[in-house]
Amino acid sequence: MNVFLRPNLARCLWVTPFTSLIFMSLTLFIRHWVGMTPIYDSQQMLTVGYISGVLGFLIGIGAFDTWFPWMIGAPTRPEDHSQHGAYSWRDYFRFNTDHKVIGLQYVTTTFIAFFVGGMFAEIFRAELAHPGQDFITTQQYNGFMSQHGTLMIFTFLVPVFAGLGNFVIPLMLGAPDMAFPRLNALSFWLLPLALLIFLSSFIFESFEAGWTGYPPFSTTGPMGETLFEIGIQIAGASSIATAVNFLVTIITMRAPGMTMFRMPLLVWANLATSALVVAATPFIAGAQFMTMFDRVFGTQFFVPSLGGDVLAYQHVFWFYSHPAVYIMVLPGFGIISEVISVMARKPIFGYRAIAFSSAGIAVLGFSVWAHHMFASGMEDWLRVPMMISTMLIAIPTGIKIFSWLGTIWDGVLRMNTAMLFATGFIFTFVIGGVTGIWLASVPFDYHVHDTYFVVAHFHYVLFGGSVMTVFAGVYFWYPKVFGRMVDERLGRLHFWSTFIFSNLTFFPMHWLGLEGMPRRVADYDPAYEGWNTFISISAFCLGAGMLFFVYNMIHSARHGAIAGSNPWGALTLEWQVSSPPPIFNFDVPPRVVGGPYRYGEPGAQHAIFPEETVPVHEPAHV
Amino acid sequence: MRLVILGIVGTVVGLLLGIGIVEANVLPPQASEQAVNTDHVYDIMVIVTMGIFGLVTAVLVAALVLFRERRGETRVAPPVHGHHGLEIIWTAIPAVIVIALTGISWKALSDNESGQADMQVTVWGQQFDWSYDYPDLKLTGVHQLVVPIGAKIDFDVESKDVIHGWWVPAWRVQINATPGQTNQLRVTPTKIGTFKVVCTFICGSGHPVMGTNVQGSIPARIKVVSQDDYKKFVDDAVAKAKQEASSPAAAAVAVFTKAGCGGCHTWGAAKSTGSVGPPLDGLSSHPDAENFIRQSIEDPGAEITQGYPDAMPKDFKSRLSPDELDTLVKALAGGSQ
Repeated sequence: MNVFLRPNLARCLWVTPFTSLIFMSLTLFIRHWVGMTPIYDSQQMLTVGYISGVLGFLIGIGAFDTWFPWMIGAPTRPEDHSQHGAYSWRDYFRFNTDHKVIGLQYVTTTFIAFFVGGMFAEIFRAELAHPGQDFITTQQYNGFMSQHGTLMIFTFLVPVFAGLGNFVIPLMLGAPDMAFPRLNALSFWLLPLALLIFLSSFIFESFEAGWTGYPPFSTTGPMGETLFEIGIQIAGASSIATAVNFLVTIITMRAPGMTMFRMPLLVWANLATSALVVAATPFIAGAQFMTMFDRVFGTQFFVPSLGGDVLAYQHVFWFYSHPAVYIMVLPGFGIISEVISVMARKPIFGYRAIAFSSAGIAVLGFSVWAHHMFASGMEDWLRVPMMISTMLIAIPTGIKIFSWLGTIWDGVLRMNTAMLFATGFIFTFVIGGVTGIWLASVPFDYHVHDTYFVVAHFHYVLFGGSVMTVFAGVYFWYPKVFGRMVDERLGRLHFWSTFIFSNLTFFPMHWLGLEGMPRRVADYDPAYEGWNTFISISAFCLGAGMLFFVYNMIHSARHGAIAGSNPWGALTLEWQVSSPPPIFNFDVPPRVVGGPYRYGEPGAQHAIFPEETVPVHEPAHV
Repeated sequence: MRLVILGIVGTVVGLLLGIGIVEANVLPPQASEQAVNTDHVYDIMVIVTMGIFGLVTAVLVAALVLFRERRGETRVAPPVHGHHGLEIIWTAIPAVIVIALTGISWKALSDNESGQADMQVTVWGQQFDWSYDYPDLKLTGVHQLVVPIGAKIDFDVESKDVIHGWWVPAWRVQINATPGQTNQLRVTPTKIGTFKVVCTFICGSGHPVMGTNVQGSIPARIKVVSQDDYKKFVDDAVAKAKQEASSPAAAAVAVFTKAGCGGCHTWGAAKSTGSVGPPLDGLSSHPDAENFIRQSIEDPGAEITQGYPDAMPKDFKSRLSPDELDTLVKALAGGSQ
């Protein structure tokens, strides 16, 4: 078959614009037919063109090659594995249903988003190094600032954990793949589309209302804002589909013997996260649909002069976006539990407490959203209950921190790069946690709300917290993914540059906020010049340090020392298969016989591989 | 035992660090009763939480030093899976601490908002300026907020367009100006002087300089004066309002100021220095000045002066009455005399 007809990126090249054109023409035709004038409306064309383009791309890449025939009742092969597994590098650019391929596709894509988003931050830090307007206008600043937040959250931190989880979790569970492999591939391919949609908004004047997109600024903003709203839908759909996949996989596909309390803590964390995603993400989808309808169809959800309620958006938005903070950090907690226990050669301290605290955070996480709105003018009575629940959520988080400390105490600590990131994470995350408690206090929040203090706080949580856990995870599982070890010397350089410069970048922001510098400004009171210059220089060094990481990742994949199946001496199941793992994961299905963290117990095992595969005894159905 | 001593030392160092941060006092001057209450909460929170930070850091660093694997070492870690006593302690103590912090915060919050207000001021946010109404005095569109010391003031904060954030760092209070609703804020100023007002909520291209026209520098300032000076301010302002009603030039400046045009535009007659939009002096040389000015106010996007963003709100036609619009257009077209 011709390369333009087979399911691949080449087919996308024509199917995507083709689908867009069909739907755009259809829109023009309908507008003409019902007598609307003018028949061309740029907002509507943009919306229709982009959404149908997403559909076209998915058709082109081959997402529906199995589903369309199945829908019309044509014969399909239930055991069709033709889309599964990577046999050459080309398979990474295809609609591939292998969770290991998807995991790598996810992590690579999200890191591209991370570096692009990081570059945007460097651009506006250059502008902020000196008061007054130097390189970019306020509008451009607003664009870069909004893109930075949006890319980092929706196309890096939320999906990167889906990527790491994708690779690791089916292996940890002893499963051959995720529960719904095609849905899994579909979720992945939505992600680069979301990234491209966000970035393409630069063509139409970038959205500039921040990643929060509050109306009425967002509903009256430039065309790019519509693309922000569409991009969120796409990234959100991807997120929800993956979460459903994780939930079903974790609940139904555990190896025989793996009871809930024999699951590794990363699996617990992903279970809690996926439940959060499934329950919360529809809210941001709803909020973005409403703002999009206000822009494109002229509805009046958030138009105060026509009876709309501006505050309603903020409630719906934060009902997702606060749980989203936990979506971006709970899987990281899971990674830290894995890394710390393995590298300390000691069982995790208080397994059940850590597992339950993940669940506790997931539940409590739904009752704190309005602490983002203390200064918004919401109902007065809501403030105190939200302050109480926000303060309380510090308790399960504290339990985790203390349990990790209990794990490394008396351990035999192997201080490699993964462990450096894991322990560095504890230090920076505690700072973010401490300022989180301060911000929960309503009177104090009235002073620093929407200032650089808040910017400092959430960068400590999301950079000092989540991003450090991502790096810990990447260094930890790299040998499993590539079968080769990373260069430890470069890894250390990367850790120390990241650790030192992230603190030098984000710590002084606390001071600026307390003194009076608001967030999201392209210019500031010249009194704050000193710290701002310092922050900008530190931010450049932080960015430059990432080069160690990029070089290490690329170089070690070819030239690193051969890793073997279990370089860290870990007990969990992903380390019991070859590196990289076999295409169908387990040649012999494992049988779980004990907990995953039995380090220091002589002869202890988490799982065994029976020589003869004993058929799993199925309970007789009546 | 070793762990207990370490924990105590770490906590004490942390508490001292907290006291150091409080003493370093990076907060702006304390200029309201609310600031005193809030800073009290801040001081306690900083010291207590820095104690926890010190504890965690001390244990973390000590563990990394003591238990790091050395070359050739054959030590085996004890297979300890947990300790119920410890786990209960590190759940219970933080719980007590956060509940106590919630209590003092709640107390400060209700103290900050207690009692009957002595006066009321309406704050208007708009792209890109602040203006103030004194409903008791029937004064509207005042540019520099002047309030008397010691009065309990209720600020009703509203917006004419998008969301803004009205923050007075020296008073430790802020609230959003949200279109379609009135948000309330209580302040009791305790210090005489000028204090800055900052917009905390992104509102467009003029956001970082919102309100610069008051003094021509970032950021806008408000004035707290003695009771006597406040009386003088009130008398002057009321007299000026009367005078404006009789002179067209003064009336035009009043419309200009009240509508917030000075936030973005420089106009000599109104002594405004905004730079988001083009300057308005010398518009009289335009061949069709009146119509051009009218069009630029009613439909600002129709013709954009080169080098400036299309940032002007599009709804001035409905915000200004036809009379106000006429007065303003005539004055701008006739030069700044």
